[in-house]
Amino acid sequence: MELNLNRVDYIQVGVTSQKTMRLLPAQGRKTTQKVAIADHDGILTCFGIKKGEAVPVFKTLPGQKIIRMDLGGAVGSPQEKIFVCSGSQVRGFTKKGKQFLTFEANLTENINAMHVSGADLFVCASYIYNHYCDCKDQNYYLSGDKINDITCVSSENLTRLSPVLACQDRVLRVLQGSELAYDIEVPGPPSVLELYNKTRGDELLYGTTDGKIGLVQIGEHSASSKWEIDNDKKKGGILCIDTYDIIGDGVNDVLVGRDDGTLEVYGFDSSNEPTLRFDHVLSESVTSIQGGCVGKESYDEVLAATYTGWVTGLTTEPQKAEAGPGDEVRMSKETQSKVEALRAELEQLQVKVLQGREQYQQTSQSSTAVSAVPTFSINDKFTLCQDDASYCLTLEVQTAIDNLLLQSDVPIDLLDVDKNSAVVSFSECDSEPNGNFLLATYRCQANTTRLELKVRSIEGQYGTLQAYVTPRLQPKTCQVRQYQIKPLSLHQRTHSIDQDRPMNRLSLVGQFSFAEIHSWVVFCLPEVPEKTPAGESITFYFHNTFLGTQLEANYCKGEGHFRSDNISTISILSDVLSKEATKRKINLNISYDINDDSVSHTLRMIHPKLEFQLVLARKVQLIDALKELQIHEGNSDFLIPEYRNILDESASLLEEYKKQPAHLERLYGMITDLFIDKFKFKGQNVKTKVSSLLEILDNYDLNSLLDFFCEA
Amino acid sequence: MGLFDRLIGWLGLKKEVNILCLGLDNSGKTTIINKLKPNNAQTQDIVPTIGFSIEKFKTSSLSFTVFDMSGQGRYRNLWEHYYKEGQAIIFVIDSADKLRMVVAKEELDTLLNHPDIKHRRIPILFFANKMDVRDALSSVKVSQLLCLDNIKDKPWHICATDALRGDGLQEGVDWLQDQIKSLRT
Repeated sequence: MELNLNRVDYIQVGVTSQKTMRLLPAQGRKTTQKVAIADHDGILTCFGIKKGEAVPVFKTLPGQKIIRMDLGGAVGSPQEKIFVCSGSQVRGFTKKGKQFLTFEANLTENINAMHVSGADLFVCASYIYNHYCDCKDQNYYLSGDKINDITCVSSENLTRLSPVLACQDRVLRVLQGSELAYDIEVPGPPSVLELYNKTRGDELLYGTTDGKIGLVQIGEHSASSKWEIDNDKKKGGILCIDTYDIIGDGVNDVLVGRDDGTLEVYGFDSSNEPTLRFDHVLSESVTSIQGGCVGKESYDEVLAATYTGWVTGLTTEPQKAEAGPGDEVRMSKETQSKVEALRAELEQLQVKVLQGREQYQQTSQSSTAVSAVPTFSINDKFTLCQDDASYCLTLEVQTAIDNLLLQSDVPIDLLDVDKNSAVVSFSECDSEPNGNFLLATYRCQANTTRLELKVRSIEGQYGTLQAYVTPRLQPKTCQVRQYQIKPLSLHQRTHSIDQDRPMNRLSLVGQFSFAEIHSWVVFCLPEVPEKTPAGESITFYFHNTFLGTQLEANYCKGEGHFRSDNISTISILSDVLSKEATKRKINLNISYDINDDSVSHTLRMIHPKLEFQLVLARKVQLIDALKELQIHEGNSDFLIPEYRNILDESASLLEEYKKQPAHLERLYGMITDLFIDKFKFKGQNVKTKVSSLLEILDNYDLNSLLDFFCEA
Repeated sequence: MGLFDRLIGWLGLKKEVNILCLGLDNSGKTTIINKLKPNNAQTQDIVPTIGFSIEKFKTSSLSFTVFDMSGQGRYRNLWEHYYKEGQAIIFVIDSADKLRMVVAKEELDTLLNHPDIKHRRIPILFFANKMDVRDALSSVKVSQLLCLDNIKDKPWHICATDALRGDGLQEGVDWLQDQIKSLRT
């Protein structure tokens, strides 16, 4: 059944964090529910909707920014106590707005995830998990990587509440008391956890930052995965999930909010497989989502809160109720009154702002006064996309962005993103005197609050990328953000690697501490926690998203072993590590163990990609000629099947070809690096032979390339 | 308003208006009329109408007499016998029944082309009923499917309603009342 939902905007509050809006349980049967939402100004607002207008129930005073909100209450009673956390403090409010709890969690860091269940309170800071019962400390756990979210599962099969942590290293950790019971591997860094069914409570939905959703059933000693929704269309990361029967078929549907503003409803068909039933795109990231009944009784709706604080409903209630003869679209009385109210407000504000500005102009002449800078928050994300080996930088500001300046001190490519409406201009830069390899300006169209960019880096070239963000605010100010491009920027953490491949080894021995070598690894590789892991030694596994080669990093105090099937990876690592060690004046003893098979292995891995690109180039060359023939003859029946095929697929081939030059260049670069690195380890300098290598690549044949690598 | 009308107003008597309530079977005609009656006069059970029934209800200034016609196929030829009496028409459409929307359009066209109706400027109120059903068409969509824009010589109005809860009915009746009053004066 097709689902039709109409968008209604209710109110706007301040900037909101993930999971900070909840619906309070309905009072009677079939009445509208109240909405509680908390923002970065520390204001907790609770309101209901009467005749399309938001009627506030209560509003607290501003304070520290609120990171999470949860509803709780005594077991068995309606869950209508509101808990919010800000800083390291948890506060509880009744549904009337009376504060009944202030609890200082005594953590050194800020709380970033919280779960309330009866008298139990579970809070998480970056790496720490803490469980309090009636405000008394019960359990404690230190996680190996950043904790993104927490929830608790309970069922008849499980003896008691067991908390589940969503950790940045693609693992869900199930705890028992203060101990880790077991962990569950998930396909991406999980960002949100939600119970599928509140009453049964052992099925857990997770959403990842790379946009995947899955359902796992948590058992006492192990978990089983029920289903998984892949992210083929490259939509944004998941920020919030809820379950609610919005379709009305008696089965709870999954409501999903993403950071690119997409709202989705997944229903279940007869075979219990999730299928997309409805989606809607808002222009900014969706931070909270809930299903319920808010605007008008007996009409269900999906309520969403966005980053800038808009509370938006997608309701099943039809919007345009009346119509009559005539072409002109008549505004309903509500719309008319809304327009009038806005107009009046705008006029008043304009006068006020004008006065304020004049006053400001006058005081700014003063020699002793200091002009303060208005602060604004930027919600940014810099992540590696697995499927095209490029970085995705998303920036979101609470007001419209005026322009964005990108500066980089490493050679990077900026790719086109279809969603972007911003105008790009590249400034010419000379890398010699000022170390600029990229200067680009994005001028945004009106009302763009969110910008998405794709950046392609080269392995081995490391440095920083800086973004200067200027929003449309008066006075105009700018904020700078810095992003590290790591030496092995295309590597991604995985859970395990294939041990059968020919491996090259790099070993370091020297007088360094565990923390020191860990900091070097953090410097070299993405997705490694900054905190030094507990224990004596640690092993991380990575795989290269572009070529599919792998890397194993194993190190402890005074010793480090790195194994990879790609010589270039080893070469980059040894360069960077020795540079870092020299900086700290530590003597390193570096030894290599090079496997000669690994070169041909890597070349064979590159081969299909290179061949695909070359075949593509050849096909595209023919397209124009074939098209002309087709026009002359009227049809293409006389052509051989191969050419007919090219004609049929010409559109997709051309599109692919547009991206191709960069791809070919990248592949050539990697092969050249591999060539140089191979001989570097043998102590030879082969830079002079690069030109003949390029010649071979131009008339590419795998065997002659392999021969060339052997001979030279 | 004439002196006589004003006299009626002073005496508390309300002018009587005859209205025809038409539409296919199962579109919700009886439910709508039932919902327009005062609370204590409403019936609980609504069964398919046989032939027709006469119902009365009052608004602020008018007293309506409604001929609640049966919409079943075999009774539809009964409609035309009452066209002469009707001073206004309420046409009810089941917005969730996309399949029979063409039948409703057909019936509407024959109604509009009937000699008793064709040259009279009587107001027609459409109720796009059953809006609470999840895949119901919007009132705009219903008016497109019924080609309501082609009605040039009669005032018409379409309202989305949910007759079970009574949503939207008042707006429609208010419009009808305004139309009848303006026609009289």
